[in-house]
Amino acid sequence: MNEPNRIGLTPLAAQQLDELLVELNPEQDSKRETVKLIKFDLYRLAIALGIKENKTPPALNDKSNAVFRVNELDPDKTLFTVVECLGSCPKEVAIYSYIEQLAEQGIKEFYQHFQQRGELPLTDYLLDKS
Amino acid sequence: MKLQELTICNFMPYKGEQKIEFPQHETQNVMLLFGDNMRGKTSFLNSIRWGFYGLAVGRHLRKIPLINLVNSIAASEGDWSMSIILRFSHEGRKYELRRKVDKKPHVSIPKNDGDFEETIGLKIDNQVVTGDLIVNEINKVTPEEISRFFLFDGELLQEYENLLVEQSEQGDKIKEHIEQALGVPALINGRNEFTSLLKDARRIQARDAKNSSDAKMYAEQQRVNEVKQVTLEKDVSDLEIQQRDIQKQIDDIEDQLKNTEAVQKKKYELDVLKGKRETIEVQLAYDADEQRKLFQSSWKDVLFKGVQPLVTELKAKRDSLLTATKAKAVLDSKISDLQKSLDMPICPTCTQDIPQNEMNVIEHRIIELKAEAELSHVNLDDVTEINAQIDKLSKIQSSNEGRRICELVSKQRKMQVNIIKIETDLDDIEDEIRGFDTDQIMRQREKKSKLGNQLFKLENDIKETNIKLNKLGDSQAHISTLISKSTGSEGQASTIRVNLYQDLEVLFKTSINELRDGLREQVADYASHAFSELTTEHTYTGLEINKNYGLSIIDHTGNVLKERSAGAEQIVALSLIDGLNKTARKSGPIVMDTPLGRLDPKHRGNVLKYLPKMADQVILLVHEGEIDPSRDLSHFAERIGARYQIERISSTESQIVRSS
Repeated sequence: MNEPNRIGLTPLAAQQLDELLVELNPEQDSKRETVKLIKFDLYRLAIALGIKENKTPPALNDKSNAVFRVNELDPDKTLFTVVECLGSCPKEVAIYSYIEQLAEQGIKEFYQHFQQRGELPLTDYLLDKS
Repeated sequence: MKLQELTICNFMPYKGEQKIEFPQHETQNVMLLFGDNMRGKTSFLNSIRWGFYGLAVGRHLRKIPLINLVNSIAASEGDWSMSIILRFSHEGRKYELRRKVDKKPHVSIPKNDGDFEETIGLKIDNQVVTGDLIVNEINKVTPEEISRFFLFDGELLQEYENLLVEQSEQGDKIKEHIEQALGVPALINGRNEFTSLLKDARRIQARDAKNSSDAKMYAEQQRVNEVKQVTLEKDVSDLEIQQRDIQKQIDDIEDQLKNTEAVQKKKYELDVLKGKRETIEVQLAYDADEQRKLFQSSWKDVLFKGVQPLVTELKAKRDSLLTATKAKAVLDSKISDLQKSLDMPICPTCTQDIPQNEMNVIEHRIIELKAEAELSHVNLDDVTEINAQIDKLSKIQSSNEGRRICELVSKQRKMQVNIIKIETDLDDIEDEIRGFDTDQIMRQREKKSKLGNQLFKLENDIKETNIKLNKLGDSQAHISTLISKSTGSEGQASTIRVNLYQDLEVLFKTSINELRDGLREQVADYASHAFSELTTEHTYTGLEINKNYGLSIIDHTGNVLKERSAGAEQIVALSLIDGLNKTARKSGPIVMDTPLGRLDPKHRGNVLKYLPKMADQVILLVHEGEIDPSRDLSHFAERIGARYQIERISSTESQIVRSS
């Protein structure tokens, strides 16, 4: 299976990611330097949560804006290896395409949760329930 | 002196004529005047003070203008007259003192003291005393200087704490009053007289010495010193004027601030809350940064947790494959050994031939083992692949980002709840102080603090200039001696005069010190005795007096008690008042306004038992929070000679009525 060099999001999810970043990052503070999130941070977390929760993502319903270079997003192929090892990716789908679908699904969920609660339910995402 | 009767007319809240008879009995010598706050207890005290001395005082012992003394309702009805009649006895003679003011005939509405006309009259045993002698007669009975110790405001007892503070402006003022009451100024004035005479005598001596060739040089030095002295004295005088001016400004600001104390307190709370809010907001911003930082790598923590079951599964699979490999090796070895027996059917131990039936069993066993070995066959590539997967997955490491983010979220929630609480409090306080110019209050506080610094500097300047003056005085005395001993000056009238005044000045200086030491000892003795009866802590051994008449408590180890409570301060102050009263004058009344405010019930009981012994007559102006009529009167019921109550007629009018 040929793996894509670039992956991304549909225009809708890409816009939602942009909005989330605006909400989650602080306004410019002239007095001190602040830590800011970038697109990769939310994108990777969306994939990781999809993998952990063993989600089955649907195929993208629109053409992807493939703006992320796979080599930059997953430089040591961690995401690839995990998906490969878990065997959760259907055979007819390239692993990075599957990863892209997980990200698309995850970002949309983030956006929906943020709309509902006014914040990301990080405790729900990250608390180890086991 | 014993007060007999007071007649008040239109004085402060007391409209019209009101008469109070003081107890005359030797043992039933306590009069109680009950009154709630703002009803006129301090005005009653002021009516006696004004009757005797024509002076009523407010905070900081500031004179209250006449216009504020005349009852406002009477004044609004056009009656601007106000009078006090005091009847009292002293050394077997009867006194009647009348003081009256009314607006001047041509003034329609008075604006200041100048718009009033004051008259004073005194009769002793029905004989009229002429105007210019009245003040002298009053001072013989009860000098104004000691009024502080028989007409006193209990709320100001705290002021006596300043006597324990070195170089305190207020402490110096109180010390001056104490010494006035104790008669020290008589000697001080004497010394000052001789200092002045000595100054003149030295000038004449220096003038005479100019004509002497031996003493000419000294005369010139004396002249220079005199110029310096005049300059330094003027400096001190100017500095003291500035000091008084600044002190007045501070007093004025304190008066203004006193009225806004509650607002200041609220403003302080507001600032503290704002500070707290800011600290929490800074912490929130810092934690939000920390949270975002953890967020950046949180995906690894999620993956780590997500792959752990897989890693465990892979490791189990690998272990199972390795076990199977080992089992196959054992089976292969067994098959090989049995095959050897088939190939060479001789027993390796006894070298006999193996029987055919045994050979059949071996054959059968080999078939079984081969079947078993076949089942245990492992493809080593599979193990290698599993190992590779485990290695790759083991590279995913977690720094517990998830747990740390959750902790930060929980902390953030608590801080946000705190901020909401603070903001609610801030809103409440802002509502309460709306309408007050808090910035102006803060500016006044800053101004007061700056003035305090200026005052401190001035005090130091005065002290330094006085040291210079003292040194100059020593130098002048020395030069005077040199002139006196020089040829031609000895025996001269000016030299004799200088020597005489010099000796007399020294005599007075020594006497002042001896008098002060003696008085301090006496005050300390009386005060210690009073203290032993007033205190509830019987391990204290007494009181120690300092050179300012400040009293310290001595504990059972003989050391000075470093910290004392507000109640203890009040007990010590009352002991001092008693000591001063007994030292300054042997008998007379004491009128106390709110003297028990800060005392606990036990101390209050002790004070109430002791007060009747403090003076021939004790007049207590109290509210029911200080003396509970149903409970506290038992301490000295047999000593109560009269009981009055101030009743409210309106916010600006009160009436004194006798109660049973």
